[in-house]
Amino acid sequence: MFVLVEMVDTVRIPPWQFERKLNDSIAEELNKKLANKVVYNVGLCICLFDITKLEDAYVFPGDGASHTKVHFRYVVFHPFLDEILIGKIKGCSPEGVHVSLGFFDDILIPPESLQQPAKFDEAEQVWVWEYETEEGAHDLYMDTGEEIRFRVVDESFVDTSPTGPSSAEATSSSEELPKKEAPYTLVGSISEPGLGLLSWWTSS
Amino acid sequence: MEVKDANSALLSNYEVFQLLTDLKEQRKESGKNKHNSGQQNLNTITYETLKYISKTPCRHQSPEIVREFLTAMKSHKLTKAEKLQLLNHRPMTAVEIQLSHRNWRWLLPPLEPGWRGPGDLRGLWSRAPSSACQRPADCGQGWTPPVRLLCNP
Repeated sequence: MFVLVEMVDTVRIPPWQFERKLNDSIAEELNKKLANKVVYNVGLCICLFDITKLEDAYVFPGDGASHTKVHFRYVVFHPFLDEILIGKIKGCSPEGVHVSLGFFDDILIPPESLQQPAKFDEAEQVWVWEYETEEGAHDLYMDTGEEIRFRVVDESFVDTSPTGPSSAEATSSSEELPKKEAPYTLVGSISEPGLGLLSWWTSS
Repeated sequence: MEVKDANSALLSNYEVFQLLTDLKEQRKESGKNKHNSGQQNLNTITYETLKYISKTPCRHQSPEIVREFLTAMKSHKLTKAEKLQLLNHRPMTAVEIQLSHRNWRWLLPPLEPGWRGPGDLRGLWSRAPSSACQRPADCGQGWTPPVRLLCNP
C-alpha cells in the first residue's frame, strides 16, 4: 500500500527560522509542501521518512533566505496493481460503488466489476448482488459504511495544474465553473470469490 | 522538485504505523507552537492514516514478529508482494489466501478428498445443510489454514 519515494528538492528557509536546527526546519518545510498532496504519477504523499543528503545552503542576492538542496525519502500511498485493500463503502451511484479508505476517497468499483449478477436498486440507491443458491436468489445489499475487500485493477493520474491564460479566456465565457477532477483515482474490482463485503465471507 | 526513484522500497503497514506514531509523539513533545495553517495538511493526513492503519492487524506486530515471519516464509519462495500482503492482511481463511497468492496450494496442507479447493466454492456449499444458506459464508465450513500466521494478537 505504501512505498518509499526518493526525491530531490530545494528548500527555502526564511531568516527568522535560522535559530532552529536546519534539519527540523527542512523537515517542516517538506511536510508543509507535500503532506496530503498528490504528486503526478507518484501517488498521495503521507509524510517525510528521512533526509538522506543535505547539500550546501546558499543565500542569493536580494533574498535573505537560505536555499538548500535536499535529497530525501517520502512515504507515499501508491497501491500496486492487483493489490487487495479493505475500505468502507462511501455510497452507491449508477456509476458504481464508491469506496473510501479514510485518508483516500477516490476509489470506484464500476458495475461490470461487481459480483455478477448485480443490479442497482433505484429506490434505496444501493447496488445489490443477486446471490443464487439452490433455494433461490438472495439479495445482498452493499450498504454505506460497510467494510469491503477489493482488488486494485487500475489507477489514473490527472494533471490538475492551472492552465495558461489563452485557454482561460475561452472558458471564462461559460457560466459554470470547470468540474473539479480528482488528481488520483483508483478503479477496483470485486468479481472474485473472497472479494466484496467482509460479512459475506466470514463464517460465524 | 525532482523524483529520483518513484518505487525505491515497499513499506509494510507496520512500518508506516510505527513512523506515524513516532511523529505524533515528537510533535506532542515539541509543544503547541506548531498549530499554524501550514501543519494542517500533515495533521489531517497523519490522523486519517493512523486511524485506518490502527484497524488493521499491524497494530499487534513488532519487529521481532516481522523477522520471525520472514524467516519462516523463506522456504515457501513467495514474491515480495505476496509476503507483504500476508503481513498486512493476515488472512485466516483459504478464500482470502488464494486472492493474493497464485500458488496457494503450497501454503496449505493436503486437501480433504472430494474438496476441489477454494476456487470451487460451489462444490463446498452444496454439501452443507441448506437451511441457513443466506450468504456464501453460511454455506461453507469455517476452514482455517494451519499456516502458522505469526502476527497473533
